[in-house]
Amino acid sequence: MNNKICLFLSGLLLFISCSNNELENVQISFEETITSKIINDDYPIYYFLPDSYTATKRYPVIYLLDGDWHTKRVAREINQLWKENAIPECILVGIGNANERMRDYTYPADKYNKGSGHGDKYYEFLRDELLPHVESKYSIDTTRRTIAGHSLGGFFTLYAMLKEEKETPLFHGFIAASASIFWVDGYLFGLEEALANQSSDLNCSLYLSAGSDEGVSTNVLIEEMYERLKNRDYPGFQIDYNVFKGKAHEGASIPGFVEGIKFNLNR
Amino acid sequence: MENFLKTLIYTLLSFFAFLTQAQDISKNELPLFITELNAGFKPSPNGSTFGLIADISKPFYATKSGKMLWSSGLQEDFQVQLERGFEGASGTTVRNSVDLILGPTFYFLKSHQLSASFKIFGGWSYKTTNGKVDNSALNINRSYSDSYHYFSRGLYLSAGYRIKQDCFFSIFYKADLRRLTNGDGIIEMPEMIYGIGVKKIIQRH
Repeated sequence: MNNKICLFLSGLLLFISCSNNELENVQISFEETITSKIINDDYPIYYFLPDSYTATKRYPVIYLLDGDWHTKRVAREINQLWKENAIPECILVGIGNANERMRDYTYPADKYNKGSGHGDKYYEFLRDELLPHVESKYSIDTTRRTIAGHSLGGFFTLYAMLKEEKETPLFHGFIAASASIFWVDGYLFGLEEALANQSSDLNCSLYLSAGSDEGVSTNVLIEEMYERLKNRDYPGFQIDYNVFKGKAHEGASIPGFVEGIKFNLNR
Repeated sequence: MENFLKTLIYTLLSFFAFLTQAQDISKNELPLFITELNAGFKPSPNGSTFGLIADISKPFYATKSGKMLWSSGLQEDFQVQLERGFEGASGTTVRNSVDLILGPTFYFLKSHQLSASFKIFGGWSYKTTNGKVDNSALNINRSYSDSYHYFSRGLYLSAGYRIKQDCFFSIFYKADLRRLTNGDGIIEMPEMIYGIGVKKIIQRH
């Protein structure tokens, strides 16, 4: 009887733990924690560099939000893309402290989410503290900065793109995977319209994505944002959008990052 | 990964709890069929899911001690998700699946009031989503539709309380684990539905 139970449980474990770990494992190159005076909080920072990194060359950089969750997996994907010569060598910087994503990645505050709405401060943290720190440490091409985020991170990515100074942009590539555009009744649509009224051009690239199984109010709003931005016909703006079949909110994150990295680093 | 481990641990704990509490049943008391009809609900920020699950199992084996019955059967799962979460958004997602189920069923026909089931299942599912966002403030009027099919797999737990001879009021939990796809922490929540139902044991008489 005991053997049968063991056999059953073994089969069960096999049944539910099937995985697709096909990518080569990689190690994060370096980790550190930096303290933000602007936000008064600590941020773990995860770096992934090419083995052939040299300070004599300048590398494109990808700043990845929710770095605690995504850095290792995205590093593995980047490693694979390098092997396939699908993207140039680059530096991945994962920004941690995902526990405070509701505070850091959103703007304005939502009355139903206490403590939310400090995305403006988070942008200041990136501009005035994190990026100068990272770029004093590593040899980075400051004209090829990409920021990538998923969900609320995707919201922040779009917020940064629409809000930042167009004459002195911090980022040049944006990846918004499954962006939470519904935040505060579609606040970003207002920003998009304000931008269109102020500017006749947008010099950057944006990759948008969603999973087909995310629900109507996510998919429709991402599609709407894509079409509005595309129809502006900004001369210096490149945009792409993809829906990943059969993926729900979490499962659409990595495919969105991978395709977004390919799109932004090869433009 | 944390959610996956929690689901797994709860499942295994439930399994062993029921196993150790089971009472004897003799082999010649094998039921002909065990049928269940369940209605379930899953609250979610983006939309609540209502589901109907019908299940018929054929017990085919009892252990020597009679503590456990192995059964197999078919399960039909029809779920509708009604979307909300954004002003002006409305939508439905309909999922229909037919699953082959396999697993031990525990039940107590004589003097006890309780029954319990633990099953694993795998089968074919078809999912279609239709909806629209009609928001005049943002000038959005857009429809969305998508459909796909996939191989479902998961766990099903139920516990019943006898309300009449061979008939139990039951509560159930069903988790479709198809989204647990990798070991790096990028894991989708299993699709779960909780509910109540009626379990009828069809006996030889």
